[in-house]
Amino acid sequence: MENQHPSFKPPKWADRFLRWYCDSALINEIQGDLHEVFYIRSEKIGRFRAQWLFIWEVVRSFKPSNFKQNNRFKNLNYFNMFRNNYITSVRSLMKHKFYSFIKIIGLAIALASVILISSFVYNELSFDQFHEKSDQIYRFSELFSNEQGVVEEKSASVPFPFGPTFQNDYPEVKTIRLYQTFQKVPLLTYQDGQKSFYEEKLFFTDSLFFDIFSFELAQGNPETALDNPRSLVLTERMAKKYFGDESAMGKTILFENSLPLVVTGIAKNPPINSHFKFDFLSTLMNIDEVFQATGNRFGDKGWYWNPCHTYVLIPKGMTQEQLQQYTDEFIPRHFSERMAPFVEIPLQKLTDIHLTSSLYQEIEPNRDYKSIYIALAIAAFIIIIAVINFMNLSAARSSQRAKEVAVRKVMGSNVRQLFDQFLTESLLTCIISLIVAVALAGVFVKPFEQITNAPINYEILFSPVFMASILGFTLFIGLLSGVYPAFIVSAFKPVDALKIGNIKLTGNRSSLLWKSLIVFQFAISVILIVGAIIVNQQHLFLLNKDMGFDKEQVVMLPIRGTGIKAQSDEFKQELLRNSDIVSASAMSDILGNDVPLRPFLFEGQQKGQNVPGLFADFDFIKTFGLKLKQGRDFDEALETDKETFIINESAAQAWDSAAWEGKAIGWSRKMRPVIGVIEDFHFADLKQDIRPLVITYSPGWHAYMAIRIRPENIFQSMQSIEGVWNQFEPGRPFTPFFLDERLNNIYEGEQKISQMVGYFSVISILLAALGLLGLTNYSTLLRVKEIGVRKVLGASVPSILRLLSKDYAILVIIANLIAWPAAWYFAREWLANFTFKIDLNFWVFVFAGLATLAMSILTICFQALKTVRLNPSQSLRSE
Amino acid sequence: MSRSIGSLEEVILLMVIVLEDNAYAVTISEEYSRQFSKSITIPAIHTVLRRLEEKGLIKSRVGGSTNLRGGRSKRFYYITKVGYETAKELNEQRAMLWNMAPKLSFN
Repeated sequence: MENQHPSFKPPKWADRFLRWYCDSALINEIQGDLHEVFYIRSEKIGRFRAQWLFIWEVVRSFKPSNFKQNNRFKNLNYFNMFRNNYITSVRSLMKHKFYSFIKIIGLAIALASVILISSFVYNELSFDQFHEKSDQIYRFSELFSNEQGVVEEKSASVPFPFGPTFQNDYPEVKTIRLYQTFQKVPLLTYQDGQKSFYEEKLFFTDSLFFDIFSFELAQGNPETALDNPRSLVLTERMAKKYFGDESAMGKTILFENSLPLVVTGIAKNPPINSHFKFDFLSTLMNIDEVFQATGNRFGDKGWYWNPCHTYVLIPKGMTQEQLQQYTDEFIPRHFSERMAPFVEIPLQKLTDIHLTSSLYQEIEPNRDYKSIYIALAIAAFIIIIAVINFMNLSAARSSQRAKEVAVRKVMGSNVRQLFDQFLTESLLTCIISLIVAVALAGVFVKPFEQITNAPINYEILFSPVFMASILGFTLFIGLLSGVYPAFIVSAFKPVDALKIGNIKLTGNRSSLLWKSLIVFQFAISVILIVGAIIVNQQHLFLLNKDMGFDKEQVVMLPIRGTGIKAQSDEFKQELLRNSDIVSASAMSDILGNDVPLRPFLFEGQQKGQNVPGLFADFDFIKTFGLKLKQGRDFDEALETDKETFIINESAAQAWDSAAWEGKAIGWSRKMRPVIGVIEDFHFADLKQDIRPLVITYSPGWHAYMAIRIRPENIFQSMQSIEGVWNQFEPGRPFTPFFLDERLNNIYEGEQKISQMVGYFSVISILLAALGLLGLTNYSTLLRVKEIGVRKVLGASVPSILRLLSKDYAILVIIANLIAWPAAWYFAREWLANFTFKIDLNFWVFVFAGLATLAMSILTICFQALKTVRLNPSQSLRSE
Repeated sequence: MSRSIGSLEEVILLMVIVLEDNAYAVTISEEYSRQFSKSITIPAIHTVLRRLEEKGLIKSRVGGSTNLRGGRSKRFYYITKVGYETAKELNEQRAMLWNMAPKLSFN
């Protein structure tokens, strides 16, 4: 071996660590040997592995026999003290089971809430980030405005030719389209297995799909899977559904019973945090056949119809501004002259879609940051309440342990050791709580998924980062809540503690702190309770608000793409033979959900306008119980009424106040006279104002049959409707739904928030009460003798209870006074999102206040009663 | 023999004998991997050496240093009389036992 020093050395930090712990008598041998062997190894097995081995050996040498003889490891008996602290902690927890239980269960509930909520939030924030090129992908959206510059439609999708033309004009970008036959849920059939289902999540796309998105294939080649016409990629879930255990590759699935698609790839199920989750992917190459199979007459050439969600991958280094410039130049070049000035194509960053986009035609409903903030605020509130409980209880308990501490001090224990002891205890409690919390979270996964309406993403939940941060967070809380009591304890004067026995928390400086902590705790509870009541009230208000039409007992039957569309009169006649069926009307949209804008020309105006336009047959007004204001209803006897309009009040006013009579509206190249005006009603959901609406007859647009049935015999009525359906459409599944149920689903978001705030406000008040329970237990214990003396002197039980609860009641009232303005502010902010909303009622606040007050007094009395009823002869017996 | 001795201890004791004047952790680890074609970590050897020294089977002396050791001196180990006798005795016992073993063939 040469005796010269090589240029590279063992890792410095490891070397320094070795020098730090190693005893000086051993350092020569150990460090010298390790260095020497490091150089020998780095020549034999390479530098990198030699470094690893060096680190490993430094760690292996880290054992008590090698430690410095003069440092705290040895002299202060550090490890033994740790063991001792651990044992005393366990003993103290076991001895005071009641306190330990309250502390652990309170913290566990809060931690379980935090685990669930933060995994939910993490998942929401991580949407679409699994794509390798996620920061280079954008989605085109399309805005239409009218001549006044008012935006009339914001669509998440763009016309068919947009993507390919764009890629053609700017070859450095790649585009792909996603098209769903959304007018009609496609029927897929596997003939050999006699399996047939309606599949909503079938996307037709371009062959670059897997180049842009990083979805993985379990079988098949992502490069070529979508390269040929009539190919089909399906997820593992769907492969199981259609083919069971058979191999799916190469099998044929029929689209709409006519177009055969051959399985060329099996994709892994898309991650939960993808803003669209496909079940099937097919190719746009044979789009004509698809159109033919679905009876679509629009074709894929027009620049008006915009059904394609189109994504663009830009090269590295290109900015969103540059891309936006491209699209701005692109519009006048390709859109027709009539459209171009009114079209804008804004870009949406792929990773922003889930939390910021809520356009017409979203693939899946998105969420907004508001619900994330609400969830985070709730988690923060809950954990604050729990930590305050923890701190207050530990502090109260520690003052009870004054004697123990005093003895320790007299025996020579210093502040540091006392700190160590109390920190060990609080960390231990936290760890136990965490274990309980994990179990609780496991139990409540399902209900939580329902509340948030989002599946828990186990990949995130079990990721090392997430678990480590939860553990870190728990330990942080342990430190935080352990430091405060440790601080109090170390400040005791042993003489006082030994003389009096108990050091009272009340009366010294720290009482202000813990009083304000209680106030803060209850203030949070009050805010949550008020929030829960108001969100719930608003939700009920939306559900029960009079829409202006009868939404109950209406069965909606989708008829798009069926033969019933053409034979709707015959179908209705057949239905009405059952006397439980009152009336039926074919129509184009779901009333009360939304009516899309369509171009109409109002007589006397130069240009057409986009106005909500509904197509329905003659029984429409009767079926929905609408009220005619002026003019007349459609008349079945008059064939000419098929070319007339009925408009709503708002439309009449916006047009030309009362002078609607005799005027006409243009639709499909014809002017049709207006024959009547109906009273305004909520044809769209309650988040929107009532707008002008026009109604006319145009059977090509009919998509649903609305059937009003009698409230009695609903089951038989449904059976008879199904019977008629089977006469007309024997091969097709019967998929009716109730209108009011569908409309209630619109407010699911509000319902979920209302549930979430509701459940967690209950948890918060329970936690606060739990803390109060522990504290009163402590404070009454301190006053056992005082109570005994009072009783001997003739005080009644109620008067003593009043005395004991007075202090806390005042705190709760102060908490309410602080919480009300805050709650009022939050509630007003939230309600500002709604066009139709409830008024903030003062009594809600009073109710929340009384509820917390009653809850706290009950808790206190429950606890205090035990002490108060104690016979004075017992409490005064020993001194 | 009153002192019990583990098998790794025995191997390293033998190596201290074999390496004569040049027995310290690094040479022992080299010799170990040469003989048994598997590696052993330095801390493991340190532990064993310390144990053998406590039992009085070997003794140690601080020796020279090299640049490679960052100027740290070596600690050389030598066999003691007790150690040498222990090793000898162990080997004789083994040899005796082996002589008593029947000749087997497992074809």
